[in-house]
Amino acid sequence: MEKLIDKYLKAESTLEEEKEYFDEESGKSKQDLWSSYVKKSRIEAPDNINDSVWETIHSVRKGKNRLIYGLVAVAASVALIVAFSINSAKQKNNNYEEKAALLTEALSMFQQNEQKEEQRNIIYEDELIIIYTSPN
Amino acid sequence: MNSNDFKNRVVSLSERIYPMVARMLGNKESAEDAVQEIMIKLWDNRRNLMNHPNIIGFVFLTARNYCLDILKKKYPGMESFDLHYGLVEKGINENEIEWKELNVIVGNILKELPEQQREIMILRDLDGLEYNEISEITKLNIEHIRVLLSRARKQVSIKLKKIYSYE
Repeated sequence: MEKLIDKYLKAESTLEEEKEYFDEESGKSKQDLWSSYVKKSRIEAPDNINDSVWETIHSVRKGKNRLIYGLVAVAASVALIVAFSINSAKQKNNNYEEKAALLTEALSMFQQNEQKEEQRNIIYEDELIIIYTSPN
Repeated sequence: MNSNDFKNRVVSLSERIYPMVARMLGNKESAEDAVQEIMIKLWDNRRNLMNHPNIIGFVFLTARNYCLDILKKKYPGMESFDLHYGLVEKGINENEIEWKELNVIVGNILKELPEQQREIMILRDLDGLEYNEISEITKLNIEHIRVLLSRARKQVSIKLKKIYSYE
C-alpha cells in the first residue's frame, strides 16, 4: 500500500491502480481524507447509458430523414404545380394567337367587301332598293 | 466516419464523460440529457471528428465546454472555480456532519491550488481521465501534467493532514 501511495503522489500510477488506492480502506492513515472524499464523490454512469444515447441519436437521425423526405415531397409538388401552370399559360397564349389569326382573316374579308362596295355603279336607289352594276 | 464507427469510437465514451458532466452540472438527472446533447453535437460534427488526432480527448473537451456554456448562461458572473468544480448545484444531501465538513474543507483546499493544478487533479481523481485526455483539455504535454498533478496531490495531502491533525 505504501508503494501505491508513493506512486500516486508522484503521479506515476495508472487509473486502475488509482481506483484500487481510492477503494482500499486498510493500510491508509486516518488522515488520508482525499481518497475518502474521492471514493464518496465519484459518480458512476448509469449502466446502459451508451445504448440509450445511441438510441437517441438513431431516433434523431430518423426524424431528420423524415423531415428531408417531407421537404423533398413538398418541393416535388411545387415543381409539378409550377410546370402545369406554365404549360396552361402557354396553351392560353396559343389560343389568343389562333383567335387573332382568325379575326385578321375575317377582317380582311370585310376589306374586300368594302372595296367591292366602292366599285358599285349605282343605277337606281331609293329607301327600299338599290340597283347597281359591278365589274365582278 | 460511418454510424458504426461513431457508435464504437464515440458513443461508447458516454459512460466515461458522464462523471465529469454530472459533477460539473451538479445534477445527475440533467447529466444524462446533457450527455445525449453532447453526443448529438458530435454526431453533427462527425466529418471533422474523423480527422482529429485525439478523438477521445476531443470528446471530453466538447463535453466540458458544453457544461461550461450551460452554467455560464444559468449563472452569469459566477466564478470560474465554482463552474469548473461544480459547486453551483452540488446540493449535498448527506446528513452526516462530517461529510459536509469534509466537502467544505476539500473545496477550500482545492480553491487555494493554482488553477491548472486544481483542474488536472479534479479531472484525474474525480472524473477518471487518462493523461492524453487531460492533455487535450488543458493543452499541456503529458509530462508537464504529471508534474503539476504530483504537486497538487502532495499539497492536498499535506493540507488535509494539517487540518485534521489539530482535531
